[in-house]
Amino acid sequence: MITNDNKGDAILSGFQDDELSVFEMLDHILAKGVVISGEITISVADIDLVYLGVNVLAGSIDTIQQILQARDAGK
Amino acid sequence: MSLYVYCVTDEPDSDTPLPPGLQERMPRIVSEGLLNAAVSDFDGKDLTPAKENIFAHERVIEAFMDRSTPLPFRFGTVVAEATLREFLDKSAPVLLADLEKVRGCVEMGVKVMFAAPAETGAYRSGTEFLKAKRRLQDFQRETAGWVEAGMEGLIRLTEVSFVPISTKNIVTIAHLVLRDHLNEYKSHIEALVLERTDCAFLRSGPWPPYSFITTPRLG
Repeated sequence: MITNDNKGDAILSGFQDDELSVFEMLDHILAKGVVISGEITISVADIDLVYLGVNVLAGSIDTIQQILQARDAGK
Repeated sequence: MSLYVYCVTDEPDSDTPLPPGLQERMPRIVSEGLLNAAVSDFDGKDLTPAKENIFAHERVIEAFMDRSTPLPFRFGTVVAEATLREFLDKSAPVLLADLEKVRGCVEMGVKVMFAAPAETGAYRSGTEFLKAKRRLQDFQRETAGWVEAGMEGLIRLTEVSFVPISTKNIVTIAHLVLRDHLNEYKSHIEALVLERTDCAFLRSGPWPPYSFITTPRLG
């Protein structure tokens, strides 16, 4: 199942598998796929989904950055 | 009652049971012409991108991935059945062409992260902006080029995008990989990681072909 398979398949170490799966999944399902115009029905406390998607993506990049910085510091 | 839409395929309906979808509803098939859409009944008008909903969406689509390569709908597609049928009817030529394009493939994602800062900041002229855009596109192509080198015969298509952030450059690459060559593809990326120590990699997948949908948005 998607919660415990190797979806993240992380070559970059330091992620929790399920955390990585969620980040990568959001990256795919929020912005891509077949769309029937005007028929997307999502609400998050009145925040536009596109705005939320960008924040979520930025969040995942921040996590990646932290791991890279920790790796660099360890060299 | 509305329908939540997961994916569409041109494969015949199967007796294989599907996992529960959103709101714990069992998916079923709506057929229109040559197309079969996986849907489940949906109550209400609000849908949050919570973890359980996201996993339910992906779980149903991936059940189809075990049989064929469907076209995934974007998360949060809720429609009346008549609207879905009209969409499938009007979009059939494009959807069928997309299904042919992705047949026998899965999507794999590769993020390549560079230590060098991304080029950001205000541009003093339109020419300066366009030159910067050209450099960015060249950088994307160059990155995709060396990632793909030696993978002839393993991938059918590539999509590249660039995420500029303050301290790192990240190029996001989606590959449409032939299922029969998935292990070779993974080995290739693993070898690349050992070879290119100047950047970091994040490989993910296999995914439904989210990045390779060219379906027009019909109202």
